[in-house]
Amino acid sequence: MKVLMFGWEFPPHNSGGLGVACHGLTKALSNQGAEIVFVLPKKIKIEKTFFKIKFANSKPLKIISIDSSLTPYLSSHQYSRNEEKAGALYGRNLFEEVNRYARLAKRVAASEPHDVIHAHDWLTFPAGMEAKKNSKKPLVAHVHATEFDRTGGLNVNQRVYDIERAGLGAADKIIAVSNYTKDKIVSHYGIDPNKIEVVHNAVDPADWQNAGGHFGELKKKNKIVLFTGRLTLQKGPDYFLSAARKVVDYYPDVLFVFAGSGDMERKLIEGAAWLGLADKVKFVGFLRDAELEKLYRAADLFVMPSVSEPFGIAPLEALTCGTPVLISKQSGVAETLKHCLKVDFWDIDEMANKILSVLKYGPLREHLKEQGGREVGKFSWQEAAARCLGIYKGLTTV
Amino acid sequence: MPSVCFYFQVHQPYRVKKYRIFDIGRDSLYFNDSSESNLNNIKVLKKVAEKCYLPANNLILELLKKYPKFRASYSFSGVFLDQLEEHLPEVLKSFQELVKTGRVEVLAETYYHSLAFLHSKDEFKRQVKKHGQKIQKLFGVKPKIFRNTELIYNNELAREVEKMGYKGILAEGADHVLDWRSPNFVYKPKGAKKIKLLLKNYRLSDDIAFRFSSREWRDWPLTAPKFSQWISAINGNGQTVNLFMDYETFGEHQWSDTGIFEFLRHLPEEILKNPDNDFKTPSEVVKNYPAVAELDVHSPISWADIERDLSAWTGNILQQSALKSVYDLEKAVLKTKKKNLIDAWGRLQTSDHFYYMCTKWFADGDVHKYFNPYDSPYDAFINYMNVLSDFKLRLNN
Repeated sequence: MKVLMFGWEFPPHNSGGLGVACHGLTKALSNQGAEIVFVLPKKIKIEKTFFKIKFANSKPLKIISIDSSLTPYLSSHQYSRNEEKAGALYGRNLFEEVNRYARLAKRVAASEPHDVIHAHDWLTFPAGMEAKKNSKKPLVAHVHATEFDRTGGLNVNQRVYDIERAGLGAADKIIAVSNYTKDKIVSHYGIDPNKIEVVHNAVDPADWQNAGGHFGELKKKNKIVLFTGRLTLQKGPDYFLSAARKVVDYYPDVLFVFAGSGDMERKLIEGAAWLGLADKVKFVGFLRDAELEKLYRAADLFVMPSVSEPFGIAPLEALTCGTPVLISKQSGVAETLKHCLKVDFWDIDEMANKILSVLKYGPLREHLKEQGGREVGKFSWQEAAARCLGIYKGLTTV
Repeated sequence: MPSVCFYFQVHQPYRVKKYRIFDIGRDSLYFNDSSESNLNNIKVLKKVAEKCYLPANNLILELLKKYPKFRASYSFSGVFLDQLEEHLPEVLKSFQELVKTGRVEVLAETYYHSLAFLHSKDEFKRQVKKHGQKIQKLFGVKPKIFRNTELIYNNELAREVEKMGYKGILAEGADHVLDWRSPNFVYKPKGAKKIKLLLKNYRLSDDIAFRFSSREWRDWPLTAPKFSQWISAINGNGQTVNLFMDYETFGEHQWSDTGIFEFLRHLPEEILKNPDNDFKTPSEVVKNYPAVAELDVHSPISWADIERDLSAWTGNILQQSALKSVYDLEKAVLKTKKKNLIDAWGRLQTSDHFYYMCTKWFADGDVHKYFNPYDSPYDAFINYMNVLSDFKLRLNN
């Protein structure tokens, strides 16, 4: 099975869950015998480059980088801001760049033999559609987030929406990362539910067993409650901050750590000061790998307060690191993870109540950690890859 | 022979309302949820009364009138009777009418449907005594047969209950204690002198309580003639068939449209068609049949789940720590001599609270097995511990 995949930078060059998912899935697919040509956008100043990597016991993976300034989670507003610095090499606005990338992708499709095309999220959908036009091979559109998730349903960008809908319409099969996302695709984009398969994301425990030591000094006096993720409306960091205010009144020996960056950072820092939480809240910026793992392990509770989370890999990472999790009910992972606490993102009182309960009641922390740690084993990329292979086979005669 | 011995359990807990940490010290009413959820105790009670208690009581009364040989027994938790007295006196009256016939026996249990025996013998005895007084007051009878919460049982309990003057005790006919023996005989608990042990025939009981409406079951649909044949087939190798089940089986667990009431309506007639069969109350079984052997049950058994052990209430550290926290308060609570505190503490001991915290099989999605008014066992624990924190504050003031 030869797969032409339009994806995103792997860790450690990723900037979020999309790269993690692409990496986990691709690795497991090659491991199960799929031959993957993995195409991704990257600023390289030459038109394209390629190299091969090989995971242990797997088919080699050919990676082709196309020169482009696209990155995941980009809004057209952010793109314009970035491009003022980058010069005239790339499209003048995000949509021009997406189309330019698609034209370059079409050339790749013409030179790389494949049986199926697999595209991850809307920025690559035009590339996938161009490739399909060229090769007449089936297209799988993989939805990790919709415009409705990214914007919390407010200020949905019509052009983004149009591209998403065109891609979903052109796809022969759609993979949604959760039933939560599947429902959104059906209700907002008018897609036949029978065309959509749900494949949950996963976590690779091998990625999380390196960091030794703990945040000794920080932990001595305080309990730690951790948020990781982009500081954007979608991720709900402002709800987390409001809950922190309530928690501190009842349990002062606690630190709230925000690991991530994003357009809400300033607002949050100011908000923390305004709420009198300056010494209770730490903004540590975007962390990855060993640093992030250390934080996961140091935390007494991980909170994912997302306003709309199509899946949510981070709680699985926290559980893998032995930390209990409190997750938003407005998430894909909440539909399948049982040994965790759940809350409506807007219910700040309940969020604070549950954070406090975990801080106060040791057996609760222990049980969530132990049972959640066991349960997280059911999320496997091998399983997700097997599902994808099944979908490819249903679309091809290979 | 054999005799059919019916025992129906009737119980409703005081479920704890949604109670956040912020409520501690501000709200001492724990059981007064008034939402549309299943934490609303009055709402649940009224619903079950309509679907089960009233129609089932009508039917049982009809059967008692029609068949002089028909018998049944009930065990009512004290917290159930409290709720009836307060909210549905007409339902209490319909139960009293059954007992007035003289052919319906009332059993003894712990007032709060609690796990007290496992945690405090003194509290256990206090609750059984309080329950006895309640039964005497409402039904004018003195129970002679004891059944512990969820049929939790071991040798030690039997000896304790014998000392308290009871003539018989009920337990689950669990395979792992019976081995090759049959539940259809009366036994003597190991180490006891005279008290007799009646064991639930769980196959025949569960045919009614669990499998009755299951279309995947080979014997579906279950009819009164078919069931009576199974009873008659025991003739010659058993003396009593103990059919023990939740009363809510009739109309609530098995809905009326499954035909459960029609089944029950025809059952006495079919069973009595065979002149070798009859009905007996637990006291009559104890009086009429000798103990055939001694049964040794060291570790506690119960009638719950496949395991028939305590794991549904005490299996995880949430349950264990909640139980420890509530029983640690015993001395402090009783010392206050305040009725409202002692009563609230009792209501917080009801086994259901701990059952809601059960996480066995939880990850497998087998939640239907654990009817739970809370979103998850974790929510049940958090709620309960918050309430207990408030209760401790009240104790210290």
